[in-house]
Amino acid sequence: MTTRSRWLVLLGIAGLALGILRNQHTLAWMSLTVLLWLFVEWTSFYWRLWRELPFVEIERTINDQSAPPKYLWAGRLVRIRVRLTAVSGTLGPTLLVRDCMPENMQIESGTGDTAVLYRQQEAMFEYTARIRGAGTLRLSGLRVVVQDAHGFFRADRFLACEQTFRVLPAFASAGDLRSTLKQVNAIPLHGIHRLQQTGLGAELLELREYVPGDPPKSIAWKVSARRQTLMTRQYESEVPVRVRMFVDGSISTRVGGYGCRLLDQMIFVAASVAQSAVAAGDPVGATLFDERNSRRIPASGGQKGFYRLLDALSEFADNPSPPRQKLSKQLLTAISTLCSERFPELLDPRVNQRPFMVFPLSPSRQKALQERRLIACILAERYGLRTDHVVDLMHDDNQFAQYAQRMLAEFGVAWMDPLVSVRDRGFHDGMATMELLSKALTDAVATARDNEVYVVMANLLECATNISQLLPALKVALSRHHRVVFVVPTPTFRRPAEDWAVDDPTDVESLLARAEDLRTTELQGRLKQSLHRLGARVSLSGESQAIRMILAETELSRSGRASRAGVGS
Amino acid sequence: MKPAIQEHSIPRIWLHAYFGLTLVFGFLLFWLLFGETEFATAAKLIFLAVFILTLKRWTGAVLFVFCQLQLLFLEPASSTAFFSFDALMWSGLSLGMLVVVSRYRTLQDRDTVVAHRSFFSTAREAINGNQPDVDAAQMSEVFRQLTKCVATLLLCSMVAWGILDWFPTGGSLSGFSSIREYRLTPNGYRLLICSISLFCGFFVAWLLVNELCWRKLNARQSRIYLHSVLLKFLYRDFRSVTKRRLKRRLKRRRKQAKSSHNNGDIPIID
Repeated sequence: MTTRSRWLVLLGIAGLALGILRNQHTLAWMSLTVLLWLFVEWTSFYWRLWRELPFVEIERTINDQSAPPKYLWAGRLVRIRVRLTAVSGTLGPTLLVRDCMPENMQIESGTGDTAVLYRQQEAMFEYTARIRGAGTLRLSGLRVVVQDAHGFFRADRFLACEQTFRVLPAFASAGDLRSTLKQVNAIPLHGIHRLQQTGLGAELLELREYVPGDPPKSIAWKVSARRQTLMTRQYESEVPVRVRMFVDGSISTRVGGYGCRLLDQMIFVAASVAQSAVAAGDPVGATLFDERNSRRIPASGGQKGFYRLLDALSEFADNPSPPRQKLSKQLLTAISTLCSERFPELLDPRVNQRPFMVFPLSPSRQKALQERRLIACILAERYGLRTDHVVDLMHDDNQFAQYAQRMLAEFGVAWMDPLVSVRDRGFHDGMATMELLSKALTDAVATARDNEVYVVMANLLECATNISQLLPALKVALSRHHRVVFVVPTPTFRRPAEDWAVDDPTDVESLLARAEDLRTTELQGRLKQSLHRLGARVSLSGESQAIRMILAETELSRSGRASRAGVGS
Repeated sequence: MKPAIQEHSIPRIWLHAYFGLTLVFGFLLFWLLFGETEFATAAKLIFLAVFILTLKRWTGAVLFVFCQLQLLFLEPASSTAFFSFDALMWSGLSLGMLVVVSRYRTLQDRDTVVAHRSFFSTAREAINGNQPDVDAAQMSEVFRQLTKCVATLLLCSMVAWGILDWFPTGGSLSGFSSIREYRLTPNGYRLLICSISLFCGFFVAWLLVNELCWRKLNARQSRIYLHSVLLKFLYRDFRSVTKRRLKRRLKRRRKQAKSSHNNGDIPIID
């Protein structure tokens, strides 16, 4: 019952009583009519709630396909159409329906909701949304508000209609990316040849003596006549260059909104490099590591290998359980908003009854505790906890924060405030990452073939001053003639400008951005210095510039050139 | 903790139709309220102010109070149940106003555009014949819904009439005197009987609705209900156990922090 109807009941009863007492029949008649009308609306409302709403069929189609696609692509638009059909009775009035949007999606056109204002058999609405980042996209269901036509009664419900999709990472197309290596007038050093092995290429590799079994058309007759012995022509073919990517999925790379995380930058680069490499016929593999474990994707070529890699990157992009945080007001607000959106029927005070409490004495604090109790009951129900655990959750902030975080993470909330505090983890997180990276690099070198290209994508900026832990593994890789490229994603998502005189910022945000850029530039310089000394390349961005640099290194490895003479910047 | 259902655009014709009807009923009531009484002007001004606030924010209940006050002060007390033209007119106006204002407020709460700002542009479009099919379809639905509502109200008023007619109007009936028997005035006696009868009828319906509500609970709601009922009985005991446990944990951590501080270690702060 809403406030509106409560007031009307009160007025109706008062009017009826006064009308009868004072013999004013019109007043009594009018007031009783209002009371009866409210009674009729009440019974009709509950009838709709029991007989019509549970039998509503929901059909959600993605991109006009009848069968839901298993895979979607990050950064692309999807057209979603939701159709509600009343199997028993009709829909409305008034029915407000909204599709619960996950954080990994952003509406581009349409509103994602509809209002049914009069009785009808079906209702439909559609909208277009953009998927922000790779990972899993879960469309859980519809949030419904059932009201009578005059707003006297209201019920909030959640109609489950779960659909889960695997979102593959976006990548730059091969045609858009060109290596930065200069091709024209590139004279290799004397004695250096392209990687060669015998095959059925077009260029002559060598001449050798004929052995039984060689095809007759490969016999070089003129040379054989000159040398008085049968000689066979040996043609060359290129050996594919193996690319192995190391992608860092530590906590610092997962913090931020979907599509804006450092991990999203790195995955974009990884997918683009893989696409270019596969287009050139080179096999691509990856090692995905984070604080939990390390997963190796063996190098493979072709479309099948490419999509297997994309699938692995997409799975890697899913955030695991977040690091533990203290309970804050914002976290409490976030979890209560989630509960009221997804579990409105569990917040009904007739179902989720409140116990009598003497303490705390302050009404505001008691109200806050009761609200926390409501959420604690929902958490207990969801995770199968006992009733005494509900009281623990009410009074133990750490335990409540733990379960609240767990629930928020399960519902796809991004790692931002208040779920994960974006504090300056800095140096210590960087050290942990370097340890993992060293181990992954060493393992990769141990199982490597010749002349591989290692692309290391990790957040190393914070520990640029001290990367000694990484150097031994790096030296081992370089000593085996592998090429190593570092891609360090930028927290500010843009390259620091070199010329500061161009624009003169006056507002606080620009000044802060400039200060961040200065710090990033300094750290970048130190990192580059440390790694260049050993012969590794560094790119400070998760953009096409980094991809071009990696392609250049791949071509260098293929050609056998030692230097990047004529390389564009 | 109600989540925000986004305000969105609903068909304008609905909002403007009910806005127009609200204005019509408001004007009629303003014209007829308190007639030629000496406080008519003051009452009308207050009604106008409340009416404007209702368009902006309030519900129709406040306007309904004015109608009840009109009848309370100006309707003559009569011993026979007789419904004159005035009575029918006032009832019709009050209930009609309640219906349209409630519907208008329900629609306005869901719309991003304020009705009065776009009312004239919509009227102009309708006159010019833009989107005639859409408007015609929507108008027919508006009319159909209004008709249903009016039919419901008529039915309720007839039932109300029947109920009031059925209960004795007071005075002695077959020698019965409420004053002698119960020390109640006839009107008081009538009120008592009426309210008890209506309450019994409502109570039966309420029991039935509640019973059906319980039977419709899903598994999750049932579990939550069990948790909450158990919590109602045992909350104090659980609370004392939890508080004691937390106190012990805090004491242990303080001791650990103190001992590590004395050893020169970096204390672990949780």
